[in-house]
Amino acid sequence: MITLNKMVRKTTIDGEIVLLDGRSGAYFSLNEVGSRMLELSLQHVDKEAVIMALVDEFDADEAVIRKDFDELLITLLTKELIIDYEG
Amino acid sequence: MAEHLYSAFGMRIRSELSLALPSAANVKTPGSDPTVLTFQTPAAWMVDIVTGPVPEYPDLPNTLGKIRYGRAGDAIIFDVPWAARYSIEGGSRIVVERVAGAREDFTGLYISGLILATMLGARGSLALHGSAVVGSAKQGSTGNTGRTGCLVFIGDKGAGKSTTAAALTAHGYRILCDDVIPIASDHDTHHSLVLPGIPLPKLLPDAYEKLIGDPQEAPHLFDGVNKYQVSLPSSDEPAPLRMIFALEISERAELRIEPIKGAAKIQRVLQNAMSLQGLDDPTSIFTRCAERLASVPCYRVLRPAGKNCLDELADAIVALDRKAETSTVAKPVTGEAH
Repeated sequence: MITLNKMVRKTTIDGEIVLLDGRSGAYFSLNEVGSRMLELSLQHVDKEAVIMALVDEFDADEAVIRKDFDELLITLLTKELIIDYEG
Repeated sequence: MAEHLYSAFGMRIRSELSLALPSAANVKTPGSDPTVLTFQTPAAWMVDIVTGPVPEYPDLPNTLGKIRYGRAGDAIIFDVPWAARYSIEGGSRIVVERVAGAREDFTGLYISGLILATMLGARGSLALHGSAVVGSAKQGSTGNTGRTGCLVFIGDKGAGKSTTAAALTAHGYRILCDDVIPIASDHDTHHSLVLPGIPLPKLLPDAYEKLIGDPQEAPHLFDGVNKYQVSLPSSDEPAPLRMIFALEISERAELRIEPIKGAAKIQRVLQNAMSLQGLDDPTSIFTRCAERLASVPCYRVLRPAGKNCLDELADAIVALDRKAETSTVAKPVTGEAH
């Protein structure tokens, strides 16, 4: 279960999420698929359900989605843009 | 005792100094023109500019070139060594102490740009650096209210913002702002609105020659640096923001205009949002941009470096504007910042 860091602002423009790290002033942008991954994850949807939803929505290979999902979350956690409050 | 009364950026400005701002005597009451949307502008925002002592603050923490600035108590201080010290007090008063020997017009130059833009930011407004034009209601092709949307041009120095705006006056457009573009949000209609600024574009000599005439015959318009400040058909009415054009010089051989969406759009706009390090909170600027500009179409304009394509560019922009005219003036804001 993840949540947005309180120091981060999120906005959605033309279907793409942009995150502003209020501590550094740096921006992080996500493409359409990444935006949907984060949006569903912030809604506390179970990881497996997120992946299956994305496979359906984007008609994509499950292995690719799973790999991209893990990489995205690791990146966002490493940059402390999101917090995993279940560890 | 104030001698001058101006109206710009949604402010009514009483000033002891003569400034290059639109006179309030020529400004109509918002809502008096039925072709223009009424909106909740800070019409009662009175600003007084007075001369008086401004203490020297040797420890101002921020710099902008050789200009030093920062907060001192409740005031914001700017120290421009070759012009004046300025103190912005309470969001409605500016005290100016001119440096001995400095010219009044030079002192005023910083008020009409830097100082008033800082006041806009302190008040929660969004200001972009660029030029803006508004379509003439009389030239509408649909027979109703006509083209009253505002087109905004942003870009780096030398990208052609003022020149493009000036070129569009030949197509019936009017200059709304040059340099500072204040963008407000109407709480009732959810439109983003561009407020009137200083409608005096500054043109490089070659642009002046193409659009106006021989610059040698207009030495009084030379701004002392490298541009000519010209008076062209202008508007003093706020207008809904219709499109943003980000101008760039390109190595391509041909003019190219392409839409920018999503993250690229807001990042491009944020590059031209006016903010001062140490005074403005990047988070607030980001939020204001998201709220006011998320639903506004934005285009990247790639101008070939070695080719004069001003006429072609103006024609293309007019065509895009006419296409938008047939759909909507401006969509409600849908962007959100959490």
